[in-house]
Amino acid sequence: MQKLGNDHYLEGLLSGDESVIDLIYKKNFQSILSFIKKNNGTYEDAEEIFQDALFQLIVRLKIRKFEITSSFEGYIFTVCKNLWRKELNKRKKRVRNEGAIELVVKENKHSSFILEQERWELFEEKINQLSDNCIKLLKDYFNKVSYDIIVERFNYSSQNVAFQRVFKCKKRLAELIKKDSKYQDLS
Amino acid sequence: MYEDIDKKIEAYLGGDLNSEEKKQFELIMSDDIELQKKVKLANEINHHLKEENWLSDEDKNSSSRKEIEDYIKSDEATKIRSKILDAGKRYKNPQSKFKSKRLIAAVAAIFVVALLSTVLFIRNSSTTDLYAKYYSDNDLPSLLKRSGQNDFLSKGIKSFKANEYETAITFFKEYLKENDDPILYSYIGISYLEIGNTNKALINFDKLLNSSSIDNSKALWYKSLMYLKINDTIKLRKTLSKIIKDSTNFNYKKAQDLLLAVD
Repeated sequence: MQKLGNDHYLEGLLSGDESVIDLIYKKNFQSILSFIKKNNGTYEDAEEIFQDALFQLIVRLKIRKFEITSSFEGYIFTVCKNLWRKELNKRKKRVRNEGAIELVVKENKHSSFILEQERWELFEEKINQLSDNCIKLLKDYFNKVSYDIIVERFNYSSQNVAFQRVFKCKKRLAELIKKDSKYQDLS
Repeated sequence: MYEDIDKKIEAYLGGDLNSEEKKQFELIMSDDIELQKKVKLANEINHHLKEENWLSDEDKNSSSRKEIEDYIKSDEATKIRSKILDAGKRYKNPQSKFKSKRLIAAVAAIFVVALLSTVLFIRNSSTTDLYAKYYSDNDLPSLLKRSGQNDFLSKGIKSFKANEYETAITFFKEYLKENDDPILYSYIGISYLEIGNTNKALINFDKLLNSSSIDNSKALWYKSLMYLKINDTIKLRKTLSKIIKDSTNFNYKKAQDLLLAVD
C-alpha cells in the first residue's frame, strides 16, 4: 500500500478538505490523547492541544517559510508535546500566583507559541550540529546527572574539566544559534 | 572570581550570585545591549535543554508576531479553524454517521433474512433424527409475496414464525375466507401437526392435495412427515410410494431416501 506523504496532508489541511482532516484525526489523535492523559491532562485538553497544533501548522505553512522535515505524524506529536509542556508550565504558574487574572487574546496565544516552536526547532537543529560527545554531555548536565558520574562516564580527569567542557559545548551552541539568520528573525 | 563572562552569565541565570554581585551584574547589563542579548540566548538555551521547562516568548512587538496575528484574524484562517473544530466533533461524536450506518445495516439485515427465508422455504434441510431430519418449515411454500398485501396473512405468518400455532391458524383461516389460496392449507396443516392435532392436520393437507395448486404434491410430503411423526409406518410407506411415482413431485429424491430409511 502506498504511504500517504506529507504533501497529501498539508495540501488537504490548507484547502480545508474534510476527508483529509478526518484522516489526520484518525491517524494522530489517539497517540496525542494517550500522551496528554499520561501527563495529567483530559480528553478536552488533548482535543484543544491537537486542534491548536493543526491550526498553527496551517498558519506556519501560509505565512512562515516552513516545511516539515520529519514525518507528518512526528511533527504533530512534537508540537503537541511542546504545547502541552507550555500549558502545564502555565498551570503551575497559575497555582503559584493565585488570583492573578490572565487575559490572553486568542491570536496572541497562537502567535506566541508559533514563534516559540520555531525557536525550539532552530535550537534542536543546532544541537544536532554539535559533536555527539557535546550532545550527550549537555543532556546529562541539564538532566542533573551529578559531576561524579559525568567525570566517570566521559573519562574526564576532574570535575573542573567536566565543568569546562559543558561551558565549551554551550558556547559552541550559542554561536551556532546566533549565526543563523532565523534566530535574528525570532528575537 | 568569574574570568569568563559566560560563566558569570551562567551563575546569574542559575541564581548563584549573591545580592551584591547580582545588582552589579544587572547594572552592567543595563548599559550593554550585547550582554543583554547574550543573557537572553543563554537563558533560552538553558530552558531548551532543561526539558521540563518551556520558555514563553514575552516579546509582543516583533514584526513576525504581527504578521502571524493578522493572518489568524483573517476570514481564511477562521474558516480553516472551524473546519478543524468540526473534524474534532465528528471524531468525538460519530453518532450521526453511525446511526444512519446502523439503520442501513438493520434494513440490510431484514433484506438478508427475507431473502434467506425465501431461499430456505424452497430448499430442504436435513438433521439427525428422521422427523427432525425431514421435517423443515423451510419446505413450506413462501408466502412473502402475499404477506405484504393482507393483514391476516402477515399476522398469521408472524405467529407461525413465533411458534404460536393456534393464533396462526385463526389468522390463516380468516385470510382464507376472502382468498382462494390452497398453499395456506400447508401452513394450517403444519400448525395443527405442531399442536398435536393430526386429524385436522390431515384434513388440511388433503385440501391442498386436492387443490389445483402447483404445489399440491407438497401435501404428500407433509402427510409423510405427519405419519413419520406419529410413527405410522404403513401409511408413511404408502404416501412415500405415491411421491416416488412421479419424479416431478415435491421432494421426490428425499422420499426415495426416506422410504429406504424406514424399510
